[in-house]
Amino acid sequence: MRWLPWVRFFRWLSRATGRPAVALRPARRPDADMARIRPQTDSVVWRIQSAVLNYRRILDQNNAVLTLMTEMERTLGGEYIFDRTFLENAVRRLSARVHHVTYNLNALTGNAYVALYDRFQEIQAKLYQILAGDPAADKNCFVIPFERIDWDMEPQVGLPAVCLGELRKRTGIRIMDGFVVTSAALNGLLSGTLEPAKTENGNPPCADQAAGSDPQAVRLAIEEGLRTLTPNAGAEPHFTLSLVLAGAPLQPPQGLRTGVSATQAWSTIREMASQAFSQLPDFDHLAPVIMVQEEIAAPVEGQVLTRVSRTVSESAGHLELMEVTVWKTEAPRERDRYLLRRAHPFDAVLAELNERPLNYRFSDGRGMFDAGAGPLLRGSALLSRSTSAELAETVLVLERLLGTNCMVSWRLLDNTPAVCQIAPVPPAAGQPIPDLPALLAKTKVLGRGGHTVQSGIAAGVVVPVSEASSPQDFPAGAIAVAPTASPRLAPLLQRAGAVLTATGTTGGHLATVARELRVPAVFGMPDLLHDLTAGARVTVDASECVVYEGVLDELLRYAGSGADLDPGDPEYRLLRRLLRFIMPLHLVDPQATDFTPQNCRSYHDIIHFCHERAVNELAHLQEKRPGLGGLHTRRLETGVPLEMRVLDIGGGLSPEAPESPQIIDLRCEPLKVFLEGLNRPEAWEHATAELSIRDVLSGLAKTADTLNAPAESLSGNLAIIGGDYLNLSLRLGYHFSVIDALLGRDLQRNYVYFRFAGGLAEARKRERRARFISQVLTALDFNVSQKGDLVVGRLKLVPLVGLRRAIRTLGMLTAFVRQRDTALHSDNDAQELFGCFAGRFMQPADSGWTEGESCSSA
Amino acid sequence: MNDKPENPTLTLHIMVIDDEPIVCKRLRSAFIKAGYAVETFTDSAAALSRLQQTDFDVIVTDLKMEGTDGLQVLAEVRRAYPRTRVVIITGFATMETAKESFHKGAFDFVAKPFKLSDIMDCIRRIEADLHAAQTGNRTS
Repeated sequence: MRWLPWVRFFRWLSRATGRPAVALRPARRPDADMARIRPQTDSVVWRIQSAVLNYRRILDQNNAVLTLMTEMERTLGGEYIFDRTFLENAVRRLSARVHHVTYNLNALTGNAYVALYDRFQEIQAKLYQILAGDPAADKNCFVIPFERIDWDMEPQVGLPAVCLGELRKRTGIRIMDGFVVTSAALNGLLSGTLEPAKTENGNPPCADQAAGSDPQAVRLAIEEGLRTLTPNAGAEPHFTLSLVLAGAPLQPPQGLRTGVSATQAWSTIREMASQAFSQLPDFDHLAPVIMVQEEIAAPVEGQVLTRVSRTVSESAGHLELMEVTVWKTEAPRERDRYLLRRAHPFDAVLAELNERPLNYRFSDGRGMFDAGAGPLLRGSALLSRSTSAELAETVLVLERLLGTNCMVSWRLLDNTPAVCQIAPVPPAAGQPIPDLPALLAKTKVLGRGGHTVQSGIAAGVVVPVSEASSPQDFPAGAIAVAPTASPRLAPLLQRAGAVLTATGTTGGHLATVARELRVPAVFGMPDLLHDLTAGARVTVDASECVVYEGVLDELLRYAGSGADLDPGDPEYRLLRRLLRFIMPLHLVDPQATDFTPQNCRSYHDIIHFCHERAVNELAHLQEKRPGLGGLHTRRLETGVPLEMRVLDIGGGLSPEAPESPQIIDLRCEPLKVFLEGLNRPEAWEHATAELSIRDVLSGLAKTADTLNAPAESLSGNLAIIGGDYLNLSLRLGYHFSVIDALLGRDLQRNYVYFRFAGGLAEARKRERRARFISQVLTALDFNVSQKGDLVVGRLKLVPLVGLRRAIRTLGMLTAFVRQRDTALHSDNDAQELFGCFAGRFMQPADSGWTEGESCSSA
Repeated sequence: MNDKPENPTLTLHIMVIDDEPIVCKRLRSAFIKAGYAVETFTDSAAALSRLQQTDFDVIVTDLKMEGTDGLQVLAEVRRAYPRTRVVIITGFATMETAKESFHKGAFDFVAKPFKLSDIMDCIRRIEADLHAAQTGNRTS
């Protein structure tokens, strides 16, 4: 107890001088106080106003950035027609606003986050590099494995490799794994010189970068890549090599070499590179690369052409189909051919099977008359119905990724089709379908309206889904119909042919996933759940927000003519690359140790970081400005036994308010709502708190700390108020709480922040009270974190009525929670206390209050 | 880019002029789906040359292009083909350019990026406008 020596000193001084002992804190003369405080008051109030103003600017800019980001992302879905100029303007406007947010945060915090400028500059430079046509960040990598490939690398590795890389991430889909030898490596191999390898911030380092910068380093990198592909191969492994022209997305891979051994790979790659560069006058633009893939022997292999138009019979008319060709590896000329419907369940409309001798043995060792799955015999088809459906599902996913029809080669591994190579098959120039408008006009429309999330056309059976639906049970290619666009439906989109919801926004998570996967989607379609029945076959035109009855092959044919925005369009690929540095939110948890400026990797990260840190700054506004205790503030008549002073920073009080204003004089909306709750008589517990000896000892240390604190920091209960803003700091006994809230006209900006800490009782009891508070906040939809007796809750993006309800409840909680910690002897007590509080004060919402029994027993 | 009209029996004959191929591609497919005949041009000089050979009901033109820009196209069309409606599309929309476009006789002025449904609504209004004009002529 540091103050005891000082007490003894003053007693000694009193005795020595014969004068009365002076107070620890000498009293000040009122006139001296005013002279000292007035200029300081103006300065401090100005600083608080400035802090709030900077915070509001951050909110404004954040909202503008989010709007721009959403606009950019929505264009990816094909709803809008845009051009390169739009992208350039959007990046310029976004960058300017994100820079402002960074500036405002530093202005608010006294330049506490200068490092954020560096991250902003780096991300901005990256965006302008992309706009300037600069290849991806890993431009000096020699070898890039499929597992590291994403859309950002498309100019560097080519569209087929991106599709294989993306497919590799999908569960249930198998590919022949591999890597890409980059154009930089091939160029260096032939010229004998390579640019020095360098690592760019925020990107994983290339495994080969440390190896050096001469052609020998390329060779080492390729050999390492081959070893990584086949780490446990017994016999000598073989590989498939193909040349891809990155930058020409619709060019199919060329010069396929199969059965290349590891020892031959090096010379074969050199030879292919030499041919490529000799034939390409503009290889800077086209960037030839070589895909190297594992080659696993399989008994059956084949190809799928994802879209063919055929008239199979007069009754069926002209149909959009996929063509599957399959053969035994040992007899490649004996090919079976199937034409499958492109919609679930991928029925075969034609099967041409080779004649086989009666004693023919299939790759599974069985003959035609051996029992197959279920009651059927094995039959003479090389491909089972389930395998063909699985294959169809996979190639449709691939077609969506590629954005165009394609030829896919595959092999059957462990009875599962594994994708080997992909060759885009660009559609014929869009020819009009003369009957299409008339056909659409006479077709029954089952649903219309809503908003396009991802354009496109798909046909299939209607399957109602909910958040509880299992993705495994969802039939591939079916049309998912849901009441709301819940993020929990995202896994279903891996298998859905299209998704329709009755409610939901185009800026939500599910919308982002639909665009990422290019699944046609319409959200907010009215009467959807009533008009579409389970099992009905429909065609969805997401671009027009229409659902037609039946499968419209003409419309599917139109969709296959490259009508939509797709990865074949440079603007689409450019936008997708830009969004990689704009949209993703990597920094989610403000409490995490990696929540730092250095870890911001996108504009979204930066604005989120700024927002969280700005909220934190305002939440600690009074603690960080100890001079507030000496300000000229006004005592508010609260109507309850709680002394509260107010500091009006503009619009918080009526101009006619007296020196000691009453609630009726308040103009501050959040404080008025808070006091509504605080003034509930039943929230005030008047019984004396029970204290154990541990509680008393625990409280003694706090008493000493409080007495030793500087006088000006003991600001008591101070509310900094504006018309729609409240920063309330409460010290009630031994606990401390802060409410920071904005209740304005702009719903996007409004929020409530609540922090609570401390107490008189021993640590375990304080923690129980904190848990009780956490439960209350969680029930109010706050995002809550708790550590010991510290609770922090954040509430935003909630309608005004919800925010008011939360603030009003915080008022009641403030009264109710006093001295409760000492009575919480067990976890059960805390649970009972929550039940009591929730029963009395939290239901039904905003419908008035009923007197209930006392909660003092808890 | 220069596409011949595929179906002369269709109602409206539309010309699209934009030096960005993506805009031509997407408008072309949308108009074809709706049953219109479309020709697209990324070069405004070639478009003006084509105008001398064939009548168009609607011209959808970008504003800012190399060579002859959208306002010059508009002025030329209003002078030589007064029946043809012109829609200006631009990524550099300002109040001044909009005013100038309307002052020079543009039917509508659409800022990029725009929704497909917006431009289709515009074309349908033109269709109704032309239909009303034809009906009026016959009546008088």
